[in-house]
Amino acid sequence: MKRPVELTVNGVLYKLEIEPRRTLLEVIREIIGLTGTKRGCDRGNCGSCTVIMDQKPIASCLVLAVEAHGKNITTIEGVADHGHLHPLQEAFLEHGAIQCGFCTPGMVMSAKALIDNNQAPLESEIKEAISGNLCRCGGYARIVKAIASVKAKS
Amino acid sequence: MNKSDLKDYAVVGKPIRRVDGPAKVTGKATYAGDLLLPGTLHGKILRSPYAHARILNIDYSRAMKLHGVRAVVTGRDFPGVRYGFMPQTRDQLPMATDKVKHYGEAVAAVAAIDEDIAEEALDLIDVEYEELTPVLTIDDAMKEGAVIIHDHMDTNIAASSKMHFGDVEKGFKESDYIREEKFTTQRVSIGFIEPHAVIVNVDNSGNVLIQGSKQSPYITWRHFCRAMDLPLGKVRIINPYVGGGFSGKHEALDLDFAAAALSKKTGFPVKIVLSQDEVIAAFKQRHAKHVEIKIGMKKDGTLVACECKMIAEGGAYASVGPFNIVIFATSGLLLPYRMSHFKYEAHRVYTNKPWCGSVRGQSIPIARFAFESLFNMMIDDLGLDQLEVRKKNSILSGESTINKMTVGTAGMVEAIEKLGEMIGWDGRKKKKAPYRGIGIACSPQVSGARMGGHFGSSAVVKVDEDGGVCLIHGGTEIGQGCDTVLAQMAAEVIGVPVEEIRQMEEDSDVAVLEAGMFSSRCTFWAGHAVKRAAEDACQQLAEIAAPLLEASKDDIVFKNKTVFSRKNPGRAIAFIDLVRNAYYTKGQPIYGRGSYSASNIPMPDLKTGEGDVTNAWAFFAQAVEVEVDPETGRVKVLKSVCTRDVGRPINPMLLDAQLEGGTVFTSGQALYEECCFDEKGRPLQNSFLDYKMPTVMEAPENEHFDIITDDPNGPFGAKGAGEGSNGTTLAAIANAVEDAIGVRIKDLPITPEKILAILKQRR
Repeated sequence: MKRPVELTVNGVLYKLEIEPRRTLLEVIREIIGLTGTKRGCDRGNCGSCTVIMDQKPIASCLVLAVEAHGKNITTIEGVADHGHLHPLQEAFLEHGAIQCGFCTPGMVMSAKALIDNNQAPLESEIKEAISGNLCRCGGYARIVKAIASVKAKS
Repeated sequence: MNKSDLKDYAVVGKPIRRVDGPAKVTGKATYAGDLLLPGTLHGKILRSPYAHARILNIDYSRAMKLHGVRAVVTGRDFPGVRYGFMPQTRDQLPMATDKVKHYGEAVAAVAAIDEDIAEEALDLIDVEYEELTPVLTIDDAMKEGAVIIHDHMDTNIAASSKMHFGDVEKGFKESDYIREEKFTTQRVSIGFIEPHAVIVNVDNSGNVLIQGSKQSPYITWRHFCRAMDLPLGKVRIINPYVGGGFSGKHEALDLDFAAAALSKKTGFPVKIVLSQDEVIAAFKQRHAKHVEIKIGMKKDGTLVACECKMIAEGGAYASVGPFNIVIFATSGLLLPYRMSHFKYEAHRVYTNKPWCGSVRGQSIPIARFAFESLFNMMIDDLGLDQLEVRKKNSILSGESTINKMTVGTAGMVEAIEKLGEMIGWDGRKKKKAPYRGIGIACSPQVSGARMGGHFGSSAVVKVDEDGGVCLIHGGTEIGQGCDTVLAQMAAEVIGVPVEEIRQMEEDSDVAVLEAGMFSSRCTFWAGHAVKRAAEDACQQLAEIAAPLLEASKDDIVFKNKTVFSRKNPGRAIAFIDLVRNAYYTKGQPIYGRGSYSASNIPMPDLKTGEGDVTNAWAFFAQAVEVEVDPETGRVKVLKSVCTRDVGRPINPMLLDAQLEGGTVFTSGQALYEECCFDEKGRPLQNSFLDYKMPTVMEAPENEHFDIITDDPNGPFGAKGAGEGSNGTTLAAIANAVEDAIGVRIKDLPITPEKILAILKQRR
């Protein structure tokens, strides 16, 4: 049986009727229609579906949409400001930290949650922040450099 | 790269940002799993729980009664035409008909109004199986009286290769030192994060539209049409961005066939997105290999002879296995060192496991692992220097190999020299810390092998009447950066900024033909086609510009959006004005076309292994530093230094990224990745939780250096390069571990258990 769920996604309030077994990932992708958040493994192993919920990075495939009721959620589509890329996004471009791009949204969200809460993270903290995000292209070193460069600027 | 190597290019050779970057970093890039069409139904696939079994009966009547189910298909719904990469190894059907040959093979598929109903319907399909003895190992497959997997065959050997150049017995007689070792390598999963996904629509006239996650849509297109018994013109493939391929997304797969058959039955589009569970358990993996290798050398380290016997365990279908075993020798053993005698025998065997084919680096990483490991051991045995011996044996520009492969430019020696400088090789012994080690390895990289068929690339450059440029090429953007590199080449020729070149999704109807993304071929092959198409467009424009500039058309230069004669650069016209003149005064639209076929390469003889396969070879030297934890046995890769001759990198930043990634990818196979199966052939891993791949914690620091050789056969001097570090990393890590602990581990992966056992023995 569907239940009412209110989600604020990228500043927009969505009033939805959702079956309790639906994950936040499914709702973001299939009902709200924001497909930037990727479904890689659907088990919380790959990090592609990372979004920020109440300042924390979460694997949206492991959260039921009903659990997110009343929460503030930022997805990759909410990171750039009216077409102006976030410094993290600029840094990913500048450092060649993108390849196939499938892990990129999750990487950016994990990184954003880090630097939103910690303006001068150590390299070890950067690595820890993205240690749950798999990149099979293998572009980790550049992703770390990109995130570190944002910290260095701010 | 040295400063003196800089050339006066506007954009070629520059580390510019990737053109697909903004879409990817904002979540706007579309992948197959993001697509929906009006009325889309959702498909799910029922997979075999057995590795080897006869299908006695399939009854899906209960599934059809479930509310929301629209159609069910089985193997019987297809024409029964086998497909495969080579005529003699066409062994695959869209879905199993009478027999399943590996765990997870598709036996039926359902389309329903949503994914949940489709999933539920799978439980209502009754399949009656008769279990057969599974063939799981090389020994199972090759022993006398072995169970035969393919009913149409007499053995489980899918393909064999035998080569003999020079006289290997004589070579060993002439050698001062001979050593022989056996190496084994394991199956690994490809591990792309984007699972296979497709949406297919079959219209009322039977026209099929496939939008899927396809690395080489051309290969999918051909396989699909053959197995569905359709002319190519009935099937159109449009390809969105691909979330990693690594050679796992070339072929038409069961989901493509199932979605098409379900769409045809229902009249609606059908979308199928696999779960990672399905992909890891039942889809393409890297061959497991047994390699026996014997090398003979002079006491000064000069390589004389090499003999190798290799058996590749490849699972239920041949895929590219027949090529794989040839490439193992031609691209993996016969370069980068000179040798006078070479003998090779290889077999690719079927087993009841998921099928294997090429994976990032093809078979070169395994061949180099075996060769460079043994070579390293022998150099140490003789008390010689690892770098000096490698340099001494490296092939030089203009030489040919014993099997008559021509090497144009070769910067192998220079790459090794530079590597030594960068890692401080000469002073390293003094500084050596306990449990730390440095390993060296070298590898060639083919610039797109021509192994058969046409293997062609083509491109079209359209210049709009307002000066805009549309580049249509067949490269698939799988992350390697082809859209950026090809735009850089077109921009260089036409003299416009990269940002002003627009590109489109690949489309088998309205775009152009490209054999596919494999064998590190795109920059070289598609690059040539793009360069030629751009030059053709410029040629058309130059003919119009010549009289306007009172110059010869051969002197016309396109630069910075202006056009002028090289003899009188002061007198220029704007590019846009020239284009307007072409369209409005001459009434001439500007369409440039180009193609590249490497038809100068005679088809290599797959039986003997003789002859050229490519027009250029790239060369890689790599050093990795590792640290072994004596308490846990864990190996950490600290640093990777890669020096390379790729002719001229078109975009060094993208190349660095790809090669660093190759090292990370391959380090997983070196140290811990392994696909495991139980005694019935059922996979023991079906998630990234069980199947561990490198994370950021395992990624080393990186340094690079380019030896510029400007290969005359390459577009702007470039050679194929993307898989180069895959060729070196396995061997370099194995050599580094030996340097660290003093013992050689010859069976991959080099796990903590193996290391601890060795360290314990020694204590």
